[in-house]
Amino acid sequence: MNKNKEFLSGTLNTIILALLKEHGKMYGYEICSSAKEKTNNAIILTEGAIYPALHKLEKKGIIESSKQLINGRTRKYYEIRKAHLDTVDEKVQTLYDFTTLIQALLKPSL
Amino acid sequence: MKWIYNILRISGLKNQELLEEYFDHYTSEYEYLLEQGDSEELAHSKVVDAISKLDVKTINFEYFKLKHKNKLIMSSTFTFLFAAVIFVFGNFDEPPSIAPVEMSGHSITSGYGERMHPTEKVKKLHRGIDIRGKLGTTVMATSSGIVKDAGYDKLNGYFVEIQHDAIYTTRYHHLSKIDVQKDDQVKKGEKIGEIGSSGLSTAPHLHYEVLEKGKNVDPALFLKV
Ligand SMILES: [Zn+2]
Repeated sequence: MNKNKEFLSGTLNTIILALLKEHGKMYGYEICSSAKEKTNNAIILTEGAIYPALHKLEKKGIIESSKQLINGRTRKYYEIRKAHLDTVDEKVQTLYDFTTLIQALLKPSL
Repeated sequence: MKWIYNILRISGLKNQELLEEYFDHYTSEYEYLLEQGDSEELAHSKVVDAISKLDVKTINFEYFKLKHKNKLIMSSTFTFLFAAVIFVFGNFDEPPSIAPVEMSGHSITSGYGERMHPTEKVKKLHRGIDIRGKLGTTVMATSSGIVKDAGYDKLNGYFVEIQHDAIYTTRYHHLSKIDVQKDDQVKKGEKIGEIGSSGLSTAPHLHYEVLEKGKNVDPALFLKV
């Protein structure tokens, strides 16, 4: 879990974008719990990292947000801007290919 | 779940939007834990623990950089560093900065430090200062904050404890009356109770303590009379 941290820092944005691509609209807590679920608790996207990352992506214009009132509190949903869906695909594919290459590199030493 | 909001607020998160988002996050977590069968107490302590692990300083700083990015690119690195230093060291929001009672006509009868305890007759560290005053004199919050605890115990009598920010807490003992409740928000100078002689006390006085990151310090350093 914690030992994955250093590898996650460079890929956090791409992971968030991949999850958003798959689910459409998501709020922060949902992103955290779906990452946990998908990786059987092995990858924990901490709330300390995820919200600043979301805000950065929003500022860059890659994602956009909307608010909704849920049980008396405000919930902020994020989704990928249509214009960026293709670049996100590319990013995810690049990371995927990269991890495959890393696997090939590391295999003999295991 | 006002307590979640309050804890987040005193954790020092500066941005209101982020605060709302973390509030939703931890309330969702709390609801999830209850759904999973945790007792309210257990869920409460898990959430408090999670919030305490939140690296608020880094988050605030990230946010600060994000907000000022465009300006920063144009201005020099030096200006940026200067602003960053002010930001980081300006983080000490609201240390206690007034006296807990109107000081005219009131005197400090016992200072901070080691002394003979008046009723127990042994040498003890006096964790605060005693200010003598008439029964019923107004006691004020010395800085804005949230009431962490308020109630009665045998030793301290009626007492109030206020958390001001991530660093400072103040305590008010031996009151005759309490005007606030746990989790209340109080403003600097707001009345929180009245001087009394409840608990282990021989005459009406206010025992006032200031804690810096949980450690007692001399309250006289914070009195501006
Ligand atoms: Zn005292």
